[in-house]
Amino acid sequence: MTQGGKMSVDVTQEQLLQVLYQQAVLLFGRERAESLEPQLKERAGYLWLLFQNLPQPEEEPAWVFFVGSPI
Amino acid sequence: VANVEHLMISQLAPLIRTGQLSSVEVVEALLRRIDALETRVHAWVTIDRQAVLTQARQRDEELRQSGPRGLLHGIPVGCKDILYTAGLKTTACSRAYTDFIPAYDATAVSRLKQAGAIILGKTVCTEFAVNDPPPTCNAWNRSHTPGGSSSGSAVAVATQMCCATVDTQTAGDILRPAAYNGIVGFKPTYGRISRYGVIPVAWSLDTVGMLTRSVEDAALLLQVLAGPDPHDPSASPSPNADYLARLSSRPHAPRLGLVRQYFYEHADHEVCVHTDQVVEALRQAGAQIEEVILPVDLTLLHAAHRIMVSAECAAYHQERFVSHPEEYGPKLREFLELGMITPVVPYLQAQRLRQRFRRKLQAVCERVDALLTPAAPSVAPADHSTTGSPILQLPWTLCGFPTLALPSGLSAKQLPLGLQFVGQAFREERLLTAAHWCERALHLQFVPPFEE
Repeated sequence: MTQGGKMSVDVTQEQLLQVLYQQAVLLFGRERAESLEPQLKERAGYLWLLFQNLPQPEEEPAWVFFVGSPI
Repeated sequence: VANVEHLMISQLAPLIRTGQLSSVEVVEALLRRIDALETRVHAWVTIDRQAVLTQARQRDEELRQSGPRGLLHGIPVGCKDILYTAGLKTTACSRAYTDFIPAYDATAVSRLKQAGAIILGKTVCTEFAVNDPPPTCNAWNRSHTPGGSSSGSAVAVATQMCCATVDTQTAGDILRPAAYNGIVGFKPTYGRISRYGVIPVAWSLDTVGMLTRSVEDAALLLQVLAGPDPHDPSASPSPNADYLARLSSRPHAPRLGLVRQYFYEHADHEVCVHTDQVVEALRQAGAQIEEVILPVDLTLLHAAHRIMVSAECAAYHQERFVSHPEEYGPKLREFLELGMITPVVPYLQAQRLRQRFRRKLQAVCERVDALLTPAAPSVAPADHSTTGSPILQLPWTLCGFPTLALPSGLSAKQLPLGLQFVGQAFREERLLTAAHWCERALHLQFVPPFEE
């Protein structure tokens, strides 16, 4: 999980793509899921990047109320 | 007064206040301009001529009876068609909202009216301010995209159909069309202007801003629009500065941080060469400019933005989209589908990372008056199937920082090129002052080659 202080999750882009694809089949049907494949691949890439760079435990989300406040 | 349509707010307002020009004369001049150009550029969705002229007559009468309402007395302003306007259609350029007439004004619209502005009409945007390109054409060359999502606004301002519009940015929706059409685009800090009455793309990213033909006009509009709003929990209680006073105080040469990292990697050769030339010209004029390296992975920041925006957008549209998918254009449909399958945990991780990015980049922004990058990766593409790439705006929109696009020259093909200025959160006065100084130093006259 932790590699040199950088939090990450052991998952491949291919595994993430499979998860997204299955979700797409479930919600939109196989034909539509197939037509979305390039976008699903891109999305899997984004998710993978996030999984390799998990926040530290003390880091909280930037909810709309925080974003609109002085840093 | 000749050529009223060429004038900016800062020039029109004193003429109206002193009775040298009536609001009716301004409105009539702009309506003539719209009549001459609209069929060629498709910038407007709705203009209620009678209502606009009635408002203009009322403003002229008010001026005679009781003086000006405020800074924008008698000035016609356009609004992107996702801002609620009471009694005036707000379609979001979508089949789903074709006949929707809001019962109330967005807070931004209400503040325009309180300051004496006249709502000239509603400008074309991409469908629900996402990706499906509108029929609008670029002000400089009709075969090129105007950018988006504030497509009609940018073209209306550039072609002098109006001197300013109020818009929104979720990715690069204000600055990119500004850059593509050679005008000023300003996105204040997230929370500086209320989002109440704005049809959302993504609640935690949407920011109300403006398109104008000068930095001074952008400051003027900010002065009118900024401030807390009990209807919008994200509208900041941070006090507003006197933005106009700061611009008119003795200007000092700004300290600027040029960011080549990431921004030059995503821009074409002409943009990079041009940006370096403009930086040199600003340095010669007295600006202190150093290259700055950002302490964050901007690719990760980009990924976080894409995850957040589609998930929030899907949440807003889910009910209607599921029951009426045929009402949605192909790019928006794809965008919503991707949002619907985005897992919740990565969405939250993206929001957590965002807070880290904000802290780190704020520390960089504090050291300069503004960071400087190209405003767009290229000139406006000669392709109406796209509105171009928002990639150079995403990091700053995600962090909520104020940004401004300033025209900086023309390409070999006579299309506008621009700079992006980035400032510290809630220090818009510092950003506007730096951009204003650069605007004066560059001293460019930007008028598209349109003939009536």
